[in-house]
Amino acid sequence: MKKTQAPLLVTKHLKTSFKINDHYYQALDDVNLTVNPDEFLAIVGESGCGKSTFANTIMGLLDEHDSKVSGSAVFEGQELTKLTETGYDEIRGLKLSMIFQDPLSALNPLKRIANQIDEVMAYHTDLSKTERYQRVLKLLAEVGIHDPKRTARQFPHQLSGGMRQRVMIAMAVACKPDLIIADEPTTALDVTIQAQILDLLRRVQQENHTSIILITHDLGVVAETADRVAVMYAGQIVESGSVQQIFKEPQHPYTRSLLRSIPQIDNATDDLYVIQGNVPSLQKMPAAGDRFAPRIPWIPASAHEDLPVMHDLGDGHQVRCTCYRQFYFKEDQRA
Amino acid sequence: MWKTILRRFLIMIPELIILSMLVFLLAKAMPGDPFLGSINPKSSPQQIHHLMQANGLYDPWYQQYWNWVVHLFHGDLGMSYEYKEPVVGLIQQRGLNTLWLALFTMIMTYMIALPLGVYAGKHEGKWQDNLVRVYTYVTMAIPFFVVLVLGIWIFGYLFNLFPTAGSISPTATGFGTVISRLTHIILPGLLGALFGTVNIVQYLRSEVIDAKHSAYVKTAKSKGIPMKDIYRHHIFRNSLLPIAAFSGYSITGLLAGSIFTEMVFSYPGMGLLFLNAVNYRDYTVITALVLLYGFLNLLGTLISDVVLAVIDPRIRVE
Amino acid sequence: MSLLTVKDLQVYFPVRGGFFNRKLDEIQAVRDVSFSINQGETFGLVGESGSGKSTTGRAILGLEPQTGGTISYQGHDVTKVAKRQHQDFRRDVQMIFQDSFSSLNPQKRIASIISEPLRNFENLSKNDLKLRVLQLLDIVGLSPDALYKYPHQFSGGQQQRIGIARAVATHPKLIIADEPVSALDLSVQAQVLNFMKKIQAEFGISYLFISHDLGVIRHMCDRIAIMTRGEIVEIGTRSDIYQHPIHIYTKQLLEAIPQTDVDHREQHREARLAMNQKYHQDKHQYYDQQGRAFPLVQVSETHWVSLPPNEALRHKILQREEH
Repeated sequence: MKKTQAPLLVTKHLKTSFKINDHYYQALDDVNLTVNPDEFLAIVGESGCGKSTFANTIMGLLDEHDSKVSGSAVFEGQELTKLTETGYDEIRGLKLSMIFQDPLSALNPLKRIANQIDEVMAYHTDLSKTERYQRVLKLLAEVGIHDPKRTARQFPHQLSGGMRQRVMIAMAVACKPDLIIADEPTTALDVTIQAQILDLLRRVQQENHTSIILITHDLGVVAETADRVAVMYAGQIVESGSVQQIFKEPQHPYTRSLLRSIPQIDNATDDLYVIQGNVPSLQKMPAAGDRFAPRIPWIPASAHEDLPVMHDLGDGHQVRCTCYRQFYFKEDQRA
Repeated sequence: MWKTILRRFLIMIPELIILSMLVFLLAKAMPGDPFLGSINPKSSPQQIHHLMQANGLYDPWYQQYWNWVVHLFHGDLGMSYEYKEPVVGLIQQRGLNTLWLALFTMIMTYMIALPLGVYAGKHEGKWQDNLVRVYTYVTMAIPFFVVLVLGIWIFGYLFNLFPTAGSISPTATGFGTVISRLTHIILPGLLGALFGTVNIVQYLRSEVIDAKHSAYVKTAKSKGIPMKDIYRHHIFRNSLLPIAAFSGYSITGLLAGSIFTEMVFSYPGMGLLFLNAVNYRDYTVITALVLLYGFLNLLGTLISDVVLAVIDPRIRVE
Repeated sequence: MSLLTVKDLQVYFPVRGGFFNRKLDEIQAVRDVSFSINQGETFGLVGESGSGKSTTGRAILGLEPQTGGTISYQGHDVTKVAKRQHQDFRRDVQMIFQDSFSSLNPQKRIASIISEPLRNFENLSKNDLKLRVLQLLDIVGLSPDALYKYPHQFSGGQQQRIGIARAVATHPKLIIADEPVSALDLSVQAQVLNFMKKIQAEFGISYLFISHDLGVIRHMCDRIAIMTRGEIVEIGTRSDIYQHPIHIYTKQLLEAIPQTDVDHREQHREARLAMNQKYHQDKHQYYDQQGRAFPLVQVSETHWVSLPPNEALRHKILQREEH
């Protein structure tokens, strides 16, 4: 990772709102994120935290009639938030591609695998039909499919879950994009298959010098694969930093609480840590104040900022709100 | 796949036997007898008795049924009591008329319904969609015979564009017969099609909307394929699948269900034949037609199954 | 005496096809599975999708047709569904599903959902019934105003707790929990797991805990069985399985768990790849010619492993030497 290189993707104050009953609700708020070339970034958070909305915003996959994007997202010098549909069609698949959670529904059930991979090259390259077919076979072999010719002829329902996700990856890397967004790519898979798919993603990233944004809820997956991590809560990034910083010196109360609630060997017999309360729903998102504050009520209100911003802790480690300075676990206090 | 089709065929055999038995017994249970129209007050009970005996109407039902089945296999469905003609010949001639009408209706139905359904689905929630919705609601709300009568009045009577009765002009010769046949089916066919589109339009619309929001369309978008091409390569084909599968029912349904149209247009097809047969208790014709309708229904299911098996790789057995 | 004993359980599903839709083949979803669950313990059943773990759980409750084997409850044979009424089996054995929402009738209020098993099995007055439901809500940490709400008004974690409240309503002795936290977020998962432990301590419930998540299984279970392709290949205590795994399938499954130890992730990855390679090299040794696992062999007081005959012999000798 060369620090001097210009960043691949920079978002500033990126906001996405959804229209529900003629009212706009913020699903993504003030997202400032930088993705460098050749980097593996993980965005981690629980359901409804806005991580998938972020992916769809960057990919331009939101329905323009019931969503609104503001702020800026610059990808290779291009302002994505101002891009037209035609402009997007030129970079999607070529420079920017995506892998989805459920590969069965993400593949067209009526088209052969070869056609579906071929399609992306047909639109973005000058390769002839036979050249493209050769490349399809090569791609399938690269993602670890043993009999590419046979798989190329098959339909999605004839493949196993792991095979389908390999096909999705082959499709995503077909034009050697600079950035791949993988939205929960292993959630639907068994643990042994998950490990293989993560290895494959990592390999693809290193061999093609692609950057990957991996979106997941699984902290173990993050720890195994990412270079850098952004933790999201209620539409905001609450902490970001290197994978070492996040897992070994987590600062934000949410990050610390999440890590504590993972079942580990050393807490096998104890109760697991439970974060009080619930994630605020989209309609009930507070307009101001720290969104995590209601879930750590024992921390005095004065510890929080009125309008929490990201604070730099050095070495690229950032944390939202000042409450991290005074945060402690109630259970530890009692003991 | 051939095995599946063959099996489906074999399953039809017991279905047909049960159907034929039901049809036969129902016809027998109908009140009145076939000679009610052909006898006069002067006919003596002996004469009627002889007629009944000659036609085997005193035999037990299974005997009559068996005779009927044996004849059926010889292509002999008996004589029509009303027309004094072999039933097979009658149905052949009337059936051909109905077939032309049904084919035309079906082609028109799809030519109207497919673009409308896709158009409505594509512009979901916008004024274009609402316009199509108004069309389907209006068509659905007006009773069919009103549409037919109105159609005859406007196009046949006011504008005098099309003939309003019959299937062919008696004076037509040579190539003129084809033209004449065509002009006779345009109006009933179009009106029938108008009516038939409602379901297909609504169904296709929701299929297109489903496909539009499906994950594979999102994938296609993320590959940088322009939306109009996504419609062409992904959405259309996938949403037409169930419609295509339904085509089997459609065509056989039209063949069997044109009674209304044929009655209003006095179009000499199977529907009209059936109606008259019921009026005159023409058992042989009724049984033959009901059997044919039942057979067409079974055939429709078969065609639909086969079409689906051919076009949907998830069902296709390799 | 064990609470529930499953012996040689088989669940085969016919594969139909061909000309007359005859039974051509069968899918052996569960093949000769045997285990027993003791009073008050949590018995884990782990496996990947298609391993037959859920089918096993459902077959015990009679939700899947059983092809062979016996199930006995408190020493009584309850294999035949007709015999279950007699042994209070239906009241004593309850189930928690992965997707609580779809197992809760959307048109019924919580009060009536939770009281349903009570109405079926116990003759309570209207007041007593309401009191019990309130108690149950309290146990799973929901406020009394939940009584008159509908399932969709609750979050995923709350729905799962309603499912648990319904399951514990009749004071069951055994709860079969099929992936109870798989659909939940980490923080909610912690909450539900804590509840399950709490009610276990309070009522002495036993669990058959079915999951693919090895981390959750380790946290919850006293004894664990590893299932693959319809068969159990290893049974043991938590430490037997996690610290001393013997079967190659168990080993590679454990290696595949993502670890949060970021400092050693390269080592972990290499170990996993090495294990993977070994698995593909050696796995055939662990299955017989028909691809079936060998019979389980006792390797310690609590630990049973499916081993090839020569290995099995070695372990037997080792054991004898120890004694």
